Amino acid sequence: MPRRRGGTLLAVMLTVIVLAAMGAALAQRAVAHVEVARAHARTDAARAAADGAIVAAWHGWDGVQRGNDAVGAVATQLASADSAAVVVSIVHPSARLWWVSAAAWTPGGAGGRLVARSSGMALWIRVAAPVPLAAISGAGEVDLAPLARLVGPALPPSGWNCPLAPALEAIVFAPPATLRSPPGAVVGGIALPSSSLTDVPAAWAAERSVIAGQADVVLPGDTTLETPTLADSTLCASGWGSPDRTGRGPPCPRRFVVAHARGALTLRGVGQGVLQVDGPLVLDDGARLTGLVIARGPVTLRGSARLTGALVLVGGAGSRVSLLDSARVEGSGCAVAGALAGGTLLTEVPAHAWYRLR
Amino acid sequence: MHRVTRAVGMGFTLAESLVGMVLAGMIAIMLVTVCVRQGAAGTAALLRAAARSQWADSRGVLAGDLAALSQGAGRLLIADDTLIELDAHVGAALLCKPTTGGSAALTVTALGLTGLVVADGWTRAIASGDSVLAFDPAQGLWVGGVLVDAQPGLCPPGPLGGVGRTLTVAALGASLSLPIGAPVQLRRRVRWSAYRAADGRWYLGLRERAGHAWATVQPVAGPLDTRGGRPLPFSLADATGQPISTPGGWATAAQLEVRLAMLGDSPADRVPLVAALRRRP
Repeated sequence: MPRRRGGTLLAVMLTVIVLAAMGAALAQRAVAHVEVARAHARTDAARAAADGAIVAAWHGWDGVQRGNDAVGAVATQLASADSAAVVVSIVHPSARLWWVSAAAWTPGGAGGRLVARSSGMALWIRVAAPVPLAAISGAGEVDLAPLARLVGPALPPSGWNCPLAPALEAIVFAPPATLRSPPGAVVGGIALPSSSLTDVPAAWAAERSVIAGQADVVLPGDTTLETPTLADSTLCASGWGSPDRTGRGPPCPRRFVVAHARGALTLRGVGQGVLQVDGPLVLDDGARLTGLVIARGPVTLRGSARLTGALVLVGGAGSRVSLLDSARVEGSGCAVAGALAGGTLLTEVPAHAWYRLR
Repeated sequence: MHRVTRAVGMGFTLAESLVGMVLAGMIAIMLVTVCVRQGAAGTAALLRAAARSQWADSRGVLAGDLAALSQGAGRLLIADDTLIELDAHVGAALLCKPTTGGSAALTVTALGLTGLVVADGWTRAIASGDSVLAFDPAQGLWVGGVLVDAQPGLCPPGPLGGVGRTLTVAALGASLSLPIGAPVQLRRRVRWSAYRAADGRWYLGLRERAGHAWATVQPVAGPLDTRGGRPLPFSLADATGQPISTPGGWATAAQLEVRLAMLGDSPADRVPLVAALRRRP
């Protein structure tokens, strides 16, 4: 049997070793780059989760809850998005400001550490006027029918959770003013001229252009809104919302309208929010409005119409409020706060509301 | 009998040697060819990987700067196809101590992720000369000044309480009063551009303005591929998606696209960074 030298085998083995070494090096680099790419992907996922959580918090904003937060309150909630754990915080640091922030963590950092990304958004209420402290504020005449009621410290609307809301007076009058009411028709205090309280109508009058600019429903000329339009449950984005939180009403409890009627307005439905009316306002029988009404002209409530919140008369001494039949005006700080923080008067801080924090 | 024998280990015949040498030569040529090709492929792969990593890193920094822009908010100062200059985000925090009229000091949060509320974050180191802007909810305006100094501070107890930072600000409004929670942001003018370095090659560079002087441009990504001519990495579009090419047209920009072609990358790597500028409320 001839003896083999093994030269070719040696050459082949050397070649295989060289190629294997090169392949291993390339594979190692590929793995390293995959890790880098994976880290970038996890970082992007954390960023997207933080940003998305803020958008979700803004989308699910509850005006009643947030508007009635105590100054300094912090609401925290946990969320998850894909592989990220997210903590969302909503802090109410001062009267008109909210700060929404989210921090998201994903695994995948160097050494198995978590990757964290955070974002923040600042919100504010665009009107600076003080919250009315009475069911009716302003100068003018107020007439109540025998069965009509003007209630200051009313209970919050059914299903509204706002234990910290301030109790309101029945009326804060700026002189000259007249109240004509049968005995027992007014429940709550009647405050006569007071320097701080009487500034309320003037302050709201000064905000009229801001409210008009922020209104998401503008009613030109003389308008009558029938019930189907006012309580349209299918259009939460453009309807007037539903103050009924007991589950029986239309499903738009977080929708608060900011409406501006440029002329006369007659309401025959249900809604919640801020309503500014330049002409005469009539709440017809069965109408139910929850929130804040800023009226420049005369206001009439007929039949079983009910206004829950506050009515501010900015028309001066010529203002007139008539509560006919069994109509009611109920003062509710809770409703006013919810209307201010739930509608389009609450916006992102102009131009620079969003921040990538980390 | 005379026997012709070949002793074991005495060598090869000429024919064997020639065939062996030819085969060895062919194998050597193949090995060298493979090695050269692998070396070139390895170099190309390294360049491509480096290009990818650089673009990924620079995308992160650039995306952070672009994320702070809003449509028509005045922070995009200059823009054309080779350069963008903007008021870049340095950091943001919340005021944790109310200011009273005449105070030049703003105490802001510096908790990072350790506090109850995520209330601050910084993408660049704070430097004297940075612009300081604080939101005044009473006016609905951002009021500003120039940062003189930043020192560790303390936020009073509360949701924003804890570690803080005291910013000394020049030219802040004398009668300014700000509530707790007012957003405070720091900005610095920066310039992203495609520039030619001393080695004759083109890079994507970042230049920051510290105080009144521009710092030296720093390469962020490159070298850029110049086979198609001078690199033009930036393009702008309006709200309808139409390209903006008129001088000064950046004021109406709603979208900014950054597309880099780097040496060694492939067209598949050239994923553009597209930033949609936020709309102002």
